[in-house]
Amino acid sequence: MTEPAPPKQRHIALILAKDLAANLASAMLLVDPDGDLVFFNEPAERILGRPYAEAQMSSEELAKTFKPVDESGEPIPLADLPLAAAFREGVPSHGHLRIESMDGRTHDLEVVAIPLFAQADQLVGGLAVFWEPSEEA
Amino acid sequence: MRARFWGSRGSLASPGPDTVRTGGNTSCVEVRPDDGSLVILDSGTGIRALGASLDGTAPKRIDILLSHLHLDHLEGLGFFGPLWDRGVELHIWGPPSPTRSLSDRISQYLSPPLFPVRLAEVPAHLELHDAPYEPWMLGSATIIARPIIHRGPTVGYRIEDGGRSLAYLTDHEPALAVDLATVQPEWVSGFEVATGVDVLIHDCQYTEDEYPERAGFGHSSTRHVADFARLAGARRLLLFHHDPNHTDDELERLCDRVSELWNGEVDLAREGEEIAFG
Ligand SMILES: [Zn+2]
Ligand SMILES: [Zn+2]
Repeated sequence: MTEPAPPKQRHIALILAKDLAANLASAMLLVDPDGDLVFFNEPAERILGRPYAEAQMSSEELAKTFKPVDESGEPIPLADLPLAAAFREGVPSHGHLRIESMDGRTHDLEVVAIPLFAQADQLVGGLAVFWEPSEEA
Repeated sequence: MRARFWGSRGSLASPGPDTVRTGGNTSCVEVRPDDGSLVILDSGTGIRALGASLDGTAPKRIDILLSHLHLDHLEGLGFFGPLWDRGVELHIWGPPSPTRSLSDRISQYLSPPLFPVRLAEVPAHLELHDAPYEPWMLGSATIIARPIIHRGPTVGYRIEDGGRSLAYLTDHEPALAVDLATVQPEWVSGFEVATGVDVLIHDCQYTEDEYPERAGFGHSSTRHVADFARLAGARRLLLFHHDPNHTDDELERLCDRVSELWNGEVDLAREGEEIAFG
C-alpha cells in the first residue's frame, strides 16, 4: 500500500491559525484533519521541550512521546485526549493531563482543543491551547 | 480555451483619460472552453459590455463564477443582458459562507432600495450554487475552487481545458499570514489553485511602498505577486485588480517592477484584450 500523497496546500483556516499561533503568547499546537501534528509555537516549545522543526509526528507518535497520564497517574488512551475527543464530537473539548516533555520534565497541563470546521461539515484541522495551571489555583 | 478581459480594474470603476490603456471597468473575464460554452469570471461593471457583445449569440446556458461578493465583482450583474432573457439558463457559482446562502447574499444587493428589481423577479432561469470543494465540469472545462485569503468568504478558481490552464485570484493577500520569500508552498493561500498554471491572473493592487499602510485590506503588492508567481511556478502572469488611483503610466511602472522581481512573462491585464495561452 502506498502512502497517501501529502496535501498540496493546507486549508486557509489552518494557514491563518498557524499565523495566529506564531503571534500568540499562549502555547498552541495545530493538527491536520487526520490528527497529525503540523505545527506548534514557541510558547509550546518551552513546555514540550523541543522546537517544532525537530518534532514533526503523527497523533500516535505524539501520544507515545508525551506519555499523557491523568491525575492518578493512569495513562490516557489516545481516543480520550482532548483533540481526539474534539474531532470525534465535533465540538471543543477540555481536559487536564500530565505529560513528560521531550527534555524529560513532567508538566501538569490544562488543554482546550478545538476542531476547525471551514464549512458546516468540512473538518480542516484542529488546534489545542494549553497551559500549566498556577500552583495556588 | 480562449479568454478575454472585459474589466480588470479593482474596487471602483474608474474611466477617464488616465486609464484608457488598461480600462476602467471592474472585474470580468470571459472564458470559452473548447466546446464553445461560456464561463464568466466575476460580474463587475465589465460584464455589461460582454453581455452586449453576445447580441443574439448567447448560448442557452451561461455560468458565472463569482470570486466573492464585494460590489466591484457583483455590481454589473443586473446589467448583464442575458439576465433579462427568458430563454437563458444562468448558473451563478460563488464562495460558500458558513452562515448565509449565496442567494441571500446576492439578493442583499439585487433588491430595493439598492436595485429596482428583486433577484427572484428576473426573467432568466437562475440557479445558484455554492462552489463545491471537489472539482466539477462546465462544458469541456474542469473547474477547481478553493478558499483564499481576502476579507470574507472568497475563492480562487482554476480552469483546465484542452491541456491549458488558467488561475484567477483577483482579490488575494497570501502575504497576510506568511513570509512568501521563505514559506513552504503547502502553507500558501492559493497555491493549490495556481500551481504550474499556464496563465495566472492575480491581484496587484499596491506598490511595495503603499502596502504597509494597507496590510490586511485583502490585496497584494508587486513583491507579493512576484513571490507568489515564483512559488506557484506560473508560466505567464497577468496583473489584475488595478487600483482605481493608479494611472496607466503608474501601472506600467508596477508591471516593470514585477518583471524585475520575477523572471517569468508578466503583463498588465488590459480591458478588451484576449489572453494568449500559447
Ligand atoms: Zn475587488
Ligand atoms: Zn474584494
